[in-house]
Amino acid sequence: VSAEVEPWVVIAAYNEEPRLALTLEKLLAAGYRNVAVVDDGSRDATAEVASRFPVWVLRHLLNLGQGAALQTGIAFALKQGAEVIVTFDGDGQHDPTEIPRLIAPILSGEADCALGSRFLGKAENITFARKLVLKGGVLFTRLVSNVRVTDTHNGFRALSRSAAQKIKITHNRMAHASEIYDRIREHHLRFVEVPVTIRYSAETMAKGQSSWGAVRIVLDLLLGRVVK
Amino acid sequence: VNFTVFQWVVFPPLVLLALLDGYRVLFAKPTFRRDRFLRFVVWLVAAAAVFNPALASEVAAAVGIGRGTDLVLYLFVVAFLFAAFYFYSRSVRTERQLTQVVRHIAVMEAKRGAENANRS
Repeated sequence: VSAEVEPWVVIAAYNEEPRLALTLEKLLAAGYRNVAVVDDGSRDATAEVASRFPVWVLRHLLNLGQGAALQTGIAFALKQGAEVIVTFDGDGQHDPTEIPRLIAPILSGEADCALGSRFLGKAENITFARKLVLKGGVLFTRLVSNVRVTDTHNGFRALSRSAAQKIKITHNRMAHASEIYDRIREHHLRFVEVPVTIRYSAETMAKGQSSWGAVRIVLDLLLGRVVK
Repeated sequence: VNFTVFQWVVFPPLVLLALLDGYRVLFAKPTFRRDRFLRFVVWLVAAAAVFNPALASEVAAAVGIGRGTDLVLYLFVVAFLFAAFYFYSRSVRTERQLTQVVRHIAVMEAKRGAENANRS
C-alpha cells in the first residue's frame, strides 16, 4: 500500500436525513472524494440528501440493518478498487480530521485493521448508562471473541483491501461489530486501536441505539452461531 | 362401536386425512412423497390413539412414562422445539439470501450524486 492511496469512506445511513448533509459537508471539506453512502431502506429523504453531494449513493430496497449496509458499501468500494476502506457514521459523531490518523497504521503496513477506540480517545457527553453498556460489550468481546480491545461497537474503523475481503459481515443488524472481531482472530489479521473522538449530542442520542439493543446483539450472536 | 362424543367428532376427520395423505403418497411427485408420508403416519397414530385411548397409556407405560397424556405432551414439546428451531434457521437463511439480492441490486444501481454543490 503506497502513501498515495486515497481511502474509501463507507457510510451506512438509515433515516439520517437531518444529520447526513453536515456529515458529508465535513468529509468533502476534509478532501475525501471516494465516499459511498448506503441508504439502508430509509423512510425519509436520506438518499435524496446524499444525491446532492458528489458521493456514490447506493440504496437498499429494504431496511436490512447496519451490518448489511456496511457490507454493501465495503463490497462496492472493493469493486471500485479501494485499497483502504474507512467505515464512518452518518450522524456526525465521528470526526473526518481523525481519518488520517486512523488509516496511518494501514498505509504504513503496520496493521490490517485500525479500530477506533473512544475509551483510548474521547467520548464527549457520553451518558453513564451508555458507558456501562459499552464496557459490558468490551468484556463480552474479550470473553466470546477472545480479542483484547478497549472499545467495541465503535463504527469508526479502517480496513486494508485484503482485510476487507476477508471480513465478510453476515450479521445484518448490530451484531456485526462482534463478528468483525471473530474474523480478525480467525484470519490472524493484525489490528491496532487508534484513539478517536465520539461526539454524543442530543441528535445522535435521539436517533442512535437504545442501550437495550445490547440484548438483541447478544441474542443475534448466540443464535447466529447455531445456524450455519 | 361405543364412541364418546369427542371420538365421534375427532376420529372420522383423522381417518379421512390419513386416507387423503395415504392416497397422495402413492400418486404425489417424488419430491413431496416424504412429507406426505410423514403426515400420513401422524394422522394414523392420532386416529389410533383416539380410537383406543388405552393404547397411548400402554405405550407410555412401556417407555416408562406414567400416563398416555403425558406421552402426548412430551412428544408435542419435542415437536414444537424442533419446529421452532427449523423455522428459525429457515428464516435466517432466507434473510441471508434476501440480503444478497438487495445488496446486488444496490451495487448494480449505484449512482453518483451531483458533482456541483447544490446543497440547499
